Amino acid sequence: MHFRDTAESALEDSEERYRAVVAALEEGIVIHEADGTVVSCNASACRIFGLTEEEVLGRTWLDPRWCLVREGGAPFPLEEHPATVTLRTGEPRSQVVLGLDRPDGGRRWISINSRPLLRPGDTTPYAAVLSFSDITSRREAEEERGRIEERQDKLQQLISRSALEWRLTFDALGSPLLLLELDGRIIRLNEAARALAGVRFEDAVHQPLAALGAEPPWPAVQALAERVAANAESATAQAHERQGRTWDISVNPVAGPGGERWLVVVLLDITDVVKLQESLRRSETMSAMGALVAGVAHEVRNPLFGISATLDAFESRFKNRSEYRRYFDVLKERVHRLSILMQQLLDYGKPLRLEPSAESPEEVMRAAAAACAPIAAGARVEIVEEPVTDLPSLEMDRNRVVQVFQNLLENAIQHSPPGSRVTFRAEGAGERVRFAVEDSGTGFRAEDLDRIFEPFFTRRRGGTGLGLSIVQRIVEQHGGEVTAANRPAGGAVMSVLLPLRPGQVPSRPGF
Amino acid sequence: MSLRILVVDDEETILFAFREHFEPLGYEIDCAQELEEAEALLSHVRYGLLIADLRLTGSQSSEGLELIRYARERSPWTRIVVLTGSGSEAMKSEAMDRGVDAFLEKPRPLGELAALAANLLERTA
Repeated sequence: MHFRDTAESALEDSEERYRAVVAALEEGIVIHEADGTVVSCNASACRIFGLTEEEVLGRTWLDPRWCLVREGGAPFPLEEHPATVTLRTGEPRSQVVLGLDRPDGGRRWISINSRPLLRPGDTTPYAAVLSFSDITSRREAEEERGRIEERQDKLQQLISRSALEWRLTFDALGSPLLLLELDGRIIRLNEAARALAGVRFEDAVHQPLAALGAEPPWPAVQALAERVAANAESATAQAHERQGRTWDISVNPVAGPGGERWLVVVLLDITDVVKLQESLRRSETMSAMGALVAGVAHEVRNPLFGISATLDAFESRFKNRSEYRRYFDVLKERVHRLSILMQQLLDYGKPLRLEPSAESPEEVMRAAAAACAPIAAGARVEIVEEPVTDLPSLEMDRNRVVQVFQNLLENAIQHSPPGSRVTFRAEGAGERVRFAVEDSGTGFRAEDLDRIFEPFFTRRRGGTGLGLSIVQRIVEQHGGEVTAANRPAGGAVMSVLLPLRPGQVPSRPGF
Repeated sequence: MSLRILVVDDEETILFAFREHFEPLGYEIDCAQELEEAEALLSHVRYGLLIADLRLTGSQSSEGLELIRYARERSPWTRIVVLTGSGSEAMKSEAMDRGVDAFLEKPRPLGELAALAANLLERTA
C-alpha cells in the first residue's frame, strides 16, 4: 500500500512535471488519438492557433474549419496534414511548413513535426504527437531579407550598367577628357585623351600628368591643373600643338565621392574656330584697308597726273636742252614707278570680276612670253617655253592669266643671271593644268617662302611687293593655286595650278 | 579740221601741262575747271575735241557725265575723251553708252594723249 501510494505519488509528480514542462514550452504541442481527435494541447498551441483549449480539443485535422495553405498560397489538402499522415502511415514527418488562417483573420506560418506513438510490437500508432513552432516572424524576416537582396541585386545591376554606359559615353566623346587627383595623378582618361597622348589606359592610370609626354598641349594642361589645384577655381587656357591644332583647355575642380577634391580636364579642338576668327579678322582688316588704299590712290592719281603731265610738257618744250636730260630721266622713272604702284593698289583693292573664255594654254603662254621678250632681251635671258602637247583648253580670263604669267616671267628674268634661261613649262595634272616658271637665280630665302604673297613684301629695290599678291588673287579667283619653291638644282620655281574651269569663288577685294 | 581742244579738269596743274604740251603742237587749248564754265565754252566755240575728267567737285561727284550729255546734244561734231582718276565701272559704262571715243585712267603720258588727239581730229576732218 505504502509502496503503491508512493509509486502513484511519484507517477503523479512525474506527470505534473511533464505537464509543467509542456505548458511552458514555446513550441506548440498537440496530441492526437488514433482517430485524429485532439486530446491534449498546450498553451502555446492555443496561442498559435488563435483558439481556446476547448475549441481545439476534440477536433481532427480533417475538420473543415481549418484553413491551411502551402507556401506560395495554394490550399493545403487536409488529408496531407502531418498528423493525419503519421496516424495513417506510422511515419514521422519533419519541418512541414504550412500557413494557418486564424479566426481573427491573421495568418501564421508554422513548421510542424509529427511523431507516432507506438506500443511495442504494433505498427499502427495509437496516437500522434504534433510539435510545431510559429515561424511567421522568421519567415517575414526572411522575406524582407529576400526583398532587400533582390533590391540590392537590381541596384548592383543598375550601377554596373550605369558605369558601362558612362564609360562608353566617356570614350565615345571626341574631346579628350581626364579625371585627375588634386596632385595631378590620372584617375581616368578617355579614348580621345589616350589617342592624343599616344598612351594605353594601363600606362596612364595612377601616373602623374607628365606621363602623357612633354609635347604640347600636355605641359599647358599640367600648368593649368597645378594652378586650379592651388586656387580651387576653374580656369581655361589655350595651347598650340605641333601638328597645328589649337586646344582650348579647361580645368574644373569637383568633389569626389568621399569629399576629396578631383580635377576634370576637358580639351576642345578649336583649330577651325581660331582659323575662322583669324580669317574674319584678316578679311575685315583687308576690306577696311582696301577702302583706305583705294581712296588714297584716287586722291594721289590727280596730283600724280599733274606732275607727270607737267614733266611731259617740260620735256617736250626743252627736249633739245641735253643738260636737262638726266633730270627728266630721274623724274620720269620715279613718277612711272609711282604710277605703277597706284595702278597696282587700285587693282588690288578692287573686287576682281573674271571674264572667262575657253583658251589654249600654249597660246596664253606664248602671249605672256612675247610680252616679256623686250625685258628678257635687255637682261640677256632666254625664255624657253616647254608646254606638253595636247593640253586641254581652259576656261579663264585670258588678260588676267596673261598678267599672271607675265608677272612670274618678269620676276624670274629679274632674278636670272645674264646668259641664263627661264623655263616656262605646262603639263596636265588631273582636272587641272600645272604651269611652272623656273629660273636659275639665287632662289628664295627659306624664311621668305611663307611671306612672298603678302602685300608689300619685297626684297627687290623699287618693287612694290604687290605683284605676287595680285598673282595669287587672280589665280585663286580662278579656283587655282600658286606656290613658290626652290629647285634642288638651284633657282626658284613658281607653280600655278589652274582648273579646267574656274570654281565658284566669290569675288572679293584683295584687301 | 578744228584744232581747238577743250580740257576740263579741276586740277590746275593738269590744265597748265596740257596747254604747255599741246600748244607747241599747233593746237588751240581752252581750259575749264567747272561744269558751267565748260558748258558755256562748248555752246560758243566749235571744239574738235573735249578732254574731260568725270569728277570736278570731289570724290562723289559726276559732273563729267553731265558734260558729256551736254556736249553730245549741243556739239555733236566734238570728239570726247574721258580722262579720270577715279571712275567706277558703272561710270565707265555710262560714259561709253553716251558715246565717248575713249575712256582713259590717269596718269597717262601726254605724248600718248597727243597721238590720240591727232588720230581723233584727223578722223573728224
